[in-house]
Amino acid sequence: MIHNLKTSSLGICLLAVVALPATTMGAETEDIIKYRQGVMKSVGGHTAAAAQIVRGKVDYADDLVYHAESIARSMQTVESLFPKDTDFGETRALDAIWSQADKFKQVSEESRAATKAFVDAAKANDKAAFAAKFKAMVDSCKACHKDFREKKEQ
Amino acid sequence: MPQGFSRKEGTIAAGWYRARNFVLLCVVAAGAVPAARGESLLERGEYLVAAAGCSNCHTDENGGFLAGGRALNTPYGTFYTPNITPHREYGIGAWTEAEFLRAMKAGLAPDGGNYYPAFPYVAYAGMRREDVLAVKAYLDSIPPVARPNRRHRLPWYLRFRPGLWLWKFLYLAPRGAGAAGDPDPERRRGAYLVNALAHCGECHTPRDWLGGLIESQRHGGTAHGPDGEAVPNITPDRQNGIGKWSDGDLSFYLETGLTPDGDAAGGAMAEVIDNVTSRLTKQDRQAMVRYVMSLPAIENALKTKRKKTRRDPDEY
Repeated sequence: MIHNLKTSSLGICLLAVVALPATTMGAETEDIIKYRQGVMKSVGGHTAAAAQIVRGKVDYADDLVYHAESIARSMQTVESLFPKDTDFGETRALDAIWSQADKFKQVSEESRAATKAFVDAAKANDKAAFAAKFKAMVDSCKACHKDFREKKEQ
Repeated sequence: MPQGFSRKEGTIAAGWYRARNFVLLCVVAAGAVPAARGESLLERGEYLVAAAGCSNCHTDENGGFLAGGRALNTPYGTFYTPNITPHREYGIGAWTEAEFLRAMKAGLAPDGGNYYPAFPYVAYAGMRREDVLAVKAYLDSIPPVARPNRRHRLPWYLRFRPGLWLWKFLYLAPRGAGAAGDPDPERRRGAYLVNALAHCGECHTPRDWLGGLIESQRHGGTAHGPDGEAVPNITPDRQNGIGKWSDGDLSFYLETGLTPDGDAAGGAMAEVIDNVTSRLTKQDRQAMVRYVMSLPAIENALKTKRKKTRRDPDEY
């Protein structure tokens, strides 16, 4: 009984702490998070499609530049998707994005460079080169997800 | 570009080590351990150290290569990995081959004390003797780092190391050997890589209340992985595992970290890909894939666990 009281009052306190910013936060943060997730999913979609081409599984080589450029376009402004205080709510963005801003900036730059190199290789239509550049680009995605994204809950 | 594996070596003592390596190579040449397919003992050791994922835990961002000090946060407490460079005082440079074999395959320190199973000797117990010795030869060749080990932070009831004898009695059985009877050589190699070297099951298998792997759920995923993270089911179950992936998808994932739906791996698996699976030969990756895809599909290991224990922190 006492235990129950304790946990429920703790629950109420927690709720108060959690609910307060949630109500004052307004819709904007949530909307930014939804937008960010939409952009990331589109990048993932283009990457998945490009992977099929790069691996030689499908014959849509004419579309590779389109996929590459779409990814590059999103990566141009990737940091802008993470305004301060958008680590609250339904997001896997880790606080490290803001607490280690320099490092985040650096991995973003690297990803931008790697993506651009992939676009160039895709345009040159050099099969060996774009496979290597594609892998390097995925490496840069991984480098950021490693330190700045919460591991997936399955 | 792979991170976390860079050898932050000083040039100090490099000459001496080159000389030492030369001596080691002479030992190999003398036929102490036959090197397979023209690769040297040190090359083989380096490859095996990558395949066994040593640097994932034994290299800390702020320390030297394999100099230890990385914190492993587990439900049983925080373990700090030890220095396994050949430094004679702080590392394992003074160990004999017999002591190294005993540590790797029986989880015993040179003084006879038990290691905690955070060190995956349950997996390494399945390693071939000559492979363990190749690992030792390589570890003896890297630059020694003078970094003292840090004590683990464990609850009082786990500090009694002799209690681990009972644990070992219950859980220590070599796995790599379990695949020895497999008639398919590729799958046999894959089992050796997955179970004895890369020890995938250490994270991807749920544990019982004593911290032993639940063998019936091996590779079925767990909601309570390292650092409290959920670890996915990697059996070929179509619903909860990777049953919808093709062999090529998995091989490409282990090489690059890209899933078939275009997501790039993050967290601990990104490190495993950087330090372990991307460094393997294509044949070895394919052997792993062949073995993993031949595992019995385990349904739902993660989901049932989750229902009982997990509360979505965002539901307020």
